[in-house]
Amino acid sequence: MIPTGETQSLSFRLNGQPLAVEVPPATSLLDLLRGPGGLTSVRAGCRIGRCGACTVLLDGRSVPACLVPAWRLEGRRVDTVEGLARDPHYQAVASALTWESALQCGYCTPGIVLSLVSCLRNETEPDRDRLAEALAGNLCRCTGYGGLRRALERLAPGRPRASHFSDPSDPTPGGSS
Amino acid sequence: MIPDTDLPVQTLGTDRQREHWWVGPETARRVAGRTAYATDVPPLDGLLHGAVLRCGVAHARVVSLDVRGARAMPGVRAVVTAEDVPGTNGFGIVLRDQPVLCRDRVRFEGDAVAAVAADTPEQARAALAAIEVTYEPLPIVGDALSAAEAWPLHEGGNLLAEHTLRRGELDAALARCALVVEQDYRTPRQMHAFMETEGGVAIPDGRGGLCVQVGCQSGHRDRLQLADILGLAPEQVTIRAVATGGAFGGKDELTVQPIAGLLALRTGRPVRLQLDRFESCRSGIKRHPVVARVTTGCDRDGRLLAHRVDAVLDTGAYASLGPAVLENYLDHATAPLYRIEAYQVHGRLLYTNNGVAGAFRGFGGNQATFAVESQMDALAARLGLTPVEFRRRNLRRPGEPGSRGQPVRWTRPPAELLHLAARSPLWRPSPGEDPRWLEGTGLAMGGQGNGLGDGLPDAGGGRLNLSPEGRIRVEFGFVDYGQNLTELVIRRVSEALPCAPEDIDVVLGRSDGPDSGPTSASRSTVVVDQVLRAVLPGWARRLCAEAARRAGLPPEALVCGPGGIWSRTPKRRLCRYRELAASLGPVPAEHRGDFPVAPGPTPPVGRFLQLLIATVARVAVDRLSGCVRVQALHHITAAGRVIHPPGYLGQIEGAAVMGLGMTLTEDMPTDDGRYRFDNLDQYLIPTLQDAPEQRVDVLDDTPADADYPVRGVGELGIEAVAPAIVAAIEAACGVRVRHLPVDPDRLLAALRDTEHPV
Amino acid sequence: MTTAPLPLTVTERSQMRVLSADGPEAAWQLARRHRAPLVAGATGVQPVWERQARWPACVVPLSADWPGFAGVTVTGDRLDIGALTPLASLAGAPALARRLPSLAPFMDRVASPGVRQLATLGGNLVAGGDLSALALVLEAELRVFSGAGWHHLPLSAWPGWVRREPGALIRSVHLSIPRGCPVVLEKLGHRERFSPPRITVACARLGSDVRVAVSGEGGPVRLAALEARLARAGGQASAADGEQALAELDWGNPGLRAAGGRLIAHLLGRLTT
Ligand SMILES: Cc1cc2nc3c(=O)[nH]c(=O)nc-3n(C[C@H](O)[C@H](O)[C@H](O)COP(=O)(O)OP(=O)(O)OC[C@H]3O[C@@H](n4cnc5c(N)ncnc54)[C@H](O)[C@@H]3O)c2cc1C
Ligand code: FES
Ligand code: FES
Repeated sequence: MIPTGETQSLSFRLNGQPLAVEVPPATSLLDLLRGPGGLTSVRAGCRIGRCGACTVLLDGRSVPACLVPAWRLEGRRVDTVEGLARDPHYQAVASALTWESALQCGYCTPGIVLSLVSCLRNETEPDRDRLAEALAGNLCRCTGYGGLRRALERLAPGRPRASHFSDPSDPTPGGSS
Repeated sequence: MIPDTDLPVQTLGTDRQREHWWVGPETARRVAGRTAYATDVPPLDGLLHGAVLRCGVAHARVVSLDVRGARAMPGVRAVVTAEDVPGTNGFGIVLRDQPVLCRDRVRFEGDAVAAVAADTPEQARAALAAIEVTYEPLPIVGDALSAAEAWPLHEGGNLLAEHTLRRGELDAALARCALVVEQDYRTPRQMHAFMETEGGVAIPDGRGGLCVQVGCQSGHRDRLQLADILGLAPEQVTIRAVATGGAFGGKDELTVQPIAGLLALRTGRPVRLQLDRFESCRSGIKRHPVVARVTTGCDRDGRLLAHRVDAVLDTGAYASLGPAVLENYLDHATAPLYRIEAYQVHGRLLYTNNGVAGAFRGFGGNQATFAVESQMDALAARLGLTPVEFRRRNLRRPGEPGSRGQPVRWTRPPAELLHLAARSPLWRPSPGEDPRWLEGTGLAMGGQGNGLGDGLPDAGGGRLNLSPEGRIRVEFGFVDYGQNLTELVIRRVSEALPCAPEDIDVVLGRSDGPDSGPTSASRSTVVVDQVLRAVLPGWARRLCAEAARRAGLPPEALVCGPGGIWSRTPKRRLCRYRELAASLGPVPAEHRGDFPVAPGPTPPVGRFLQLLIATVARVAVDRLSGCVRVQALHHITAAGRVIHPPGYLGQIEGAAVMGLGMTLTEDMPTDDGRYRFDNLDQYLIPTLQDAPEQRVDVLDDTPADADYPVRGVGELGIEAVAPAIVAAIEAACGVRVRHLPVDPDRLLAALRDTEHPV
Repeated sequence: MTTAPLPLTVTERSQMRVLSADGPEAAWQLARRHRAPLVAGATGVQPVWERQARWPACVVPLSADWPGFAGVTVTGDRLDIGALTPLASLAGAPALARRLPSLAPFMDRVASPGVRQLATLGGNLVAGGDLSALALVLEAELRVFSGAGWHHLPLSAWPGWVRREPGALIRSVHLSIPRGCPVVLEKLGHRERFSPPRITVACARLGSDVRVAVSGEGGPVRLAALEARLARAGGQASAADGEQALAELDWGNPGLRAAGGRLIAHLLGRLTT
């Protein structure tokens, strides 16, 4: 082993279960989850907070796990998609994304799901614009975000969105083709 | 005039179209985060971690390399250098000119000089730090335009390839032009920026060979290269292409395979190797930047007569797929959609120390289309014609040969797409204008061919079987890196056989499976369709015959269906696939065929199966800052039948936003041969809010039993985006941008000049 | 010439030691003794360390639990904001939303929702981030601890900006926003969201006094010369005036200054309407 400064014993709740680990205190939550946590839905894309692939819920709010050092984790609650199967917000988001096929490679998708779950949980009746803002830190290189936009319509139904394609005389969203 | 009520158009993804919408099981798996990726850490005993020492200098002689210290470090199991490469120390799809590990010379900052396998990633990195290398700097070749005269990077000089495509008498045609425009165009060194960086694991098989599980695009081709490098027979190397977080051409070339393989053979243990984003940016391939001077002329009526292109493509330190990119660039630079009496399209591909360029969605074609379409607008404006009218006068018609004299097969006439683009709602002026934002609409057209083209060997096959558990197993050599290929195959088989989606297992990307050829050049959809059409009917008949024998019924009375074989009337399932598997055993069926090329005796030129797109862009330009916001993109495509609507839609939208990034923010400039940026905080790809609202209208009525009912649309969406956006910018503010990405500072300066003419 | 001792660094995150302190004074002492950086949300520092593959041998985390270090309190026109208040809480704080309606839409353009949960106000100001232009026009004052004990310091005199040297430890940020004092601000990035700052402009009017500050590529600065001109010209300035004010300070590059000038003139126009 490389001599490390020291390790820290740390306990927090991961997907509802208590987890106790002994790690160097600056270990990132990303490495903690992929290593000792044994999870693969939390993914590295940049390790500097710039892609959103590592997004998790920390005390119920979305954060990039690569920027959360272990020293801040004691006693806190961490959730990933693996632990949300029964969460109604998660179910709504997952089915909207699936039905709209809002993904291709899917590498970015768990992070996107969690950013949306965080928004639905913590904001009061977010509309599509707020849901879109919630995704400002989640890059997706494959889809061009088209499926995601359609999924947001599904998650925040209401008046059809003002569209560059809709004809003022045509009430259907998207206009006629 | 074409009356549009007669045109077979459908808007993908709208409620009207939803009855054909279909989402398969793999999508739900990916949403739930349950798909395993190439860079997940595999639960393997004795797994080691690899790390690569990259030189970090643009061009130098390696004076000395000492790895003794590193070998003695704790946890280190192997340190390898060029001395340790058992076979050919070189790779590259076209030319094997890129060393796996450099011996005496490095030609770009990402060149590898040594690699380590250790028990932990930290130990591997620590060992890298203990390797001592001294370099003697060599002059840096930083500019492709002057590279031919500069210090040679390879034997034979820096001019790697040079080609000219010609038709007619250019000078004579130019002399007859009433109007000629000549402009310079530049396109950026775009980075693929797939979300999952290059990586995988190499696992020794205990018999001297190995298996590599990796994010890649062509298992069979990788295997041949890798066997050569490792000094093994091809049969000793197996590639398993695992789910991959995006590729876009960036994983077409070998990435981590050679070094991971080398370390695994050395240590006899599985070795995992993944580039982090910094290393990926510095060593991975990019899109070829192109500098081109384009001269185009027409007569007084706007009929194109002459077209000349002089282009320089910067391929960086090694060839990779550069020569093929040059070919496709030139093909697109002939302006294939337009009838032009004479052209001379000339391109040069140069080595420099500016990283390495290679395959990237569009493959040189979209760089050329940017210039060609911009020229059309320039001529139209000078003649006082609308962009639509000018194009209408020059578009080719079905039945005419392609721009290189070859037979081409479009699915609809180009003029129909133009017509629909001209009718796009995006041309309507938007109500309630904010004086801060200048809005405008522009259009561009693009064409593209499927397949490797130009008569290159281009075969592909696939296989069907019934597993002992009664699963319908469909195998292709292609890799699903996110283009929904799995779903497309399931959709196609479940409809054609027919059966339930749940009856099917799709197995992709194994070098010990069928060879389908590379997952590139938008060829997989076409090959899949070809194979399935060849094998499915006969295969279904074999199953029905067996079921008929068992049930004592005539085979004509039976059909395949969900879960097993059914009688037609009454509609009732007679036996399960599992029971058939028990009595029949395996039911293999395989087909291998050449990629469709033009019929005829002459060797094929260019590409036969053609696709078309017209893109209309609506933008707003910020008068305060020169920033451009793309508000909407409207695409009209003619690319054959839509088999999997979400996949088709996603490919067009995704490629278009990638093209938008290349137009507005994405570039990887170099300073003295070194990339300026190395992560996603500096290299900026579009976010959700940068991505416009999009609509994809498909123009098609190809019957299912047509000769070539489908095309691959993976690259089509990027083709016309950049020229459509710059046309819209010009419509908004009167400034034409010819250097991409659009620089807001320069656009603002130009805007100011239009406000206060001097 | 005396050379400052090199900061002690290690090459792996795992080798980094965390020195915990039970209060701000102890934290400051520890940081000084071990030449260790103070860290708040750590969103500013970690990307830098990750890129260099060099980490400080020790760090001293600050704690939001220390009295006065987190949260927004209002007394009359005065706002006291703990330095460790996450940016996300600023956007959501009702007291701030009432006084600064332009803040919430602006915050959508600062980093990303996830980063804003971690990043703190203090860290943003120290880094000269997007909020520093706003804090400058509001003449923010810092409550800090250093070798000189506890004291107040105007943000504009923050030593890290002025001399690029380690500053003091910030406990809280104090602003006063009189009722009816309009504040406008806007960020110009390279893309619509989640962009590194190019230029952020903030303007405020207090009575006849108009204040302008910028942050971004050229660093945080109050445009005093422009403000003097505005006082003479009834609060209006042209794009050329704004551009010139930036040029006099040699702020950013010429292209960005042109955009900055226009943005300043535009925001001043909004301030008066
Ligand atoms: C993905 C990403 C996007 C970003 N986008 C933006 C953006 O759009 N706009 C922007 O302005 N910034 C941005 N940042 C930069 C940065 O994260 C923010 O400026 C943030 O507010 C810094 O706060 P922090 O608490 O994380 O600081 P830290 O990283 O903890 O500290 C930063 C510096 O401040 C010092 N410091 C912190 N708190 C105190 C204190 N209380 N007393 C004394 N010194 C202190 C530290 O010693 C260190 O030198 C971004 C960062 C990331 C990772
Ligand atoms: S890996 Fe954490 S944001 Fe990219
Ligand atoms: S689906 Fe591939 S990055 Fe989003």
